[in-house]
Amino acid sequence: MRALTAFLGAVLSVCVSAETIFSSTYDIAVTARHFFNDSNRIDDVSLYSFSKGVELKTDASGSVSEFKWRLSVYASFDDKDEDRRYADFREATLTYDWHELSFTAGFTRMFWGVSESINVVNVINQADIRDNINGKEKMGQQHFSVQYNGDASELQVVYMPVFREQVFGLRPSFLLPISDRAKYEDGHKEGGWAARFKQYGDQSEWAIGYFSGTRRIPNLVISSATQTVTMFHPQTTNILFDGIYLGDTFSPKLELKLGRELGKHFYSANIGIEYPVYPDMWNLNELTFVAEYLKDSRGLEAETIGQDDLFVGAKGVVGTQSEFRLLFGHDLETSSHYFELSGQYRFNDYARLTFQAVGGIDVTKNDRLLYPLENEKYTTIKIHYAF
Amino acid sequence: MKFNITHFHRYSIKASVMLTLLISNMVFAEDDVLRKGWEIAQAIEDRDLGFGDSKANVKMVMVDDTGTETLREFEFRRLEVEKKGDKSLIKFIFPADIRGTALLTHPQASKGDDQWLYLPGINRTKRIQSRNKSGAFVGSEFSFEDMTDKSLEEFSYKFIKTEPCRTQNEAFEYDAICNVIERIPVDNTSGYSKQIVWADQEEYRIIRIDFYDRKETLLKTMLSSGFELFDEHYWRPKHVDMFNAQSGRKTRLNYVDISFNNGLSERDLSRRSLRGG
Repeated sequence: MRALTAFLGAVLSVCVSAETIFSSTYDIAVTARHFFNDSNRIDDVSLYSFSKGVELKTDASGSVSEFKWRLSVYASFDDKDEDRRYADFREATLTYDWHELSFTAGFTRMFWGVSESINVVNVINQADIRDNINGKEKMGQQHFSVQYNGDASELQVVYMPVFREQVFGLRPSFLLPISDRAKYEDGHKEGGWAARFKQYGDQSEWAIGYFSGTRRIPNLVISSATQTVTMFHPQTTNILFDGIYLGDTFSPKLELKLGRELGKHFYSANIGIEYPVYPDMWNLNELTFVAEYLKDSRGLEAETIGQDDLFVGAKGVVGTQSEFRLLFGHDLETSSHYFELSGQYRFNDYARLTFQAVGGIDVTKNDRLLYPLENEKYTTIKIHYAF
Repeated sequence: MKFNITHFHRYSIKASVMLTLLISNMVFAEDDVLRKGWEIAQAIEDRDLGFGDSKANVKMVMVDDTGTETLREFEFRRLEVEKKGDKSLIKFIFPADIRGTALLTHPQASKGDDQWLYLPGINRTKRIQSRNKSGAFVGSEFSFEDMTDKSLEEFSYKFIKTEPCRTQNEAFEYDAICNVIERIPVDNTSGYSKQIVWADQEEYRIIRIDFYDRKETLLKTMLSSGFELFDEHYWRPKHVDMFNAQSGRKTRLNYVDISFNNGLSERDLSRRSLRGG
């Protein structure tokens, strides 16, 4: 894999010359992260409450002869958290189009799904939870893919030779330090295979997919003996379905995952609706209400915080300067709550402020994934300059 | 005075004939203005047929009611598709944080257009609701409805009058007479109850449109100027201003680097094109 990475790096270096670039952007941000409570570590280790840092995002794309390329790099430095000092290739791809076929190799992020809360079918990429605990920021995934692009359908086959492990920051803390050594079912550590067929219809689209490999999201196992939390990655095989219908007033959506892990079958489904309005008041250009219900047959052993949860939310655009997103989750089984508020304010055409506040409220101990967030509520503020 | 039934009968016949003639004239006149309105709309549409494809870089300047300006730049590609409506692709260039964000539109004749929004930051292509087109396009005074191609059948038409173009658009460079027509959207989900269109008689350039909201109140006025002839046949305005009569805000589109016959194909305005070059 190092040879492949080096080869891609060399090829991209050739590609990334001024003559071949379609566009490039640079986004530099100063960041601040504040935790409202002391750390929830049960080993009485005190962790920081406030940290600051910088982030850099670059994104360039272009073409060389018949090949299209894209390079997107993310880098972060945090003054208190060593695990938040890293760089990642979000995208580093070469694509060759031949008639209706596209051949791609490199690092990429593939988004599968239609939901706004938790995308149960978005299984390809590892989440970068150091960047965002909600799992929506993804790390680049090494892959080879072939895609057939029809007029009303697409078929994609993906091979991922490398598995990328999840990396945790010091905070939000999960009660104990995360062990450096993750465990894998039967020692298998596989990027895996995936395929997806997508059909576009009148006012609708749907996709059916398949994935087999090491599950990206680990189970977190607390070990009293070692006083650590160990990541355990099972092997998983999934059949995936997602679809949306664009109605005149609202749009129903569905994501469904049928899977087999550790010898057991399971399902995970997210069903919801999206209701956009265009109010002519308060300078609101767009306001969309979302309601989604997520059910996972694995119950409290589910891989995400949603196992029997109702999510409601709204997202909107105010004038030309601001946008916001609010999500509130209620667990019907444990009565725990989750909230997330994020937004952006644009100072001018170059500088903007982004913020996020995340946490759990009234979380019970048996909600093991959400429980740590009860005392790990935090907010981040970033001031960006993009050019 | 005696009532003369013969005279009454004669006058009744005369009155009936006159009334019939009057109603007939009104019906024919109404048919006439509808027919003429349709013919003018047809001529405007036919004037632009055969352009093939076009590209332009567009600077969009949004001015709020305090005078504060916000700039957006995008590339606008358009592919002529007979009968179905022209496909379009808008790819943002500026500000840098939204560079690469793209909106692809494939018109559908009898229902909402197919639209996809590409978000490069998360590599996500999202199918979006296009049925309610009255939403503002990136916060400007142009709605999504304004940004999509219109076919003749999407409106009913009525001729109103003729008048000098410059009386309604002082920035129009030519000393021309305009046909004024009213067009009413057939789709009842349109954000407009009617539009009044001014187009010059010689070249059928649309120089002004007044948009009326569902309450039939003047909502916006669009003025075009800086017309330039391309390929010796196709007129395009270099400046399009949209004034919101109700909020006081305005948006100006400045078209630069307009070009035709770029060799664009269906593939260049496909979902695949959202992501790259």
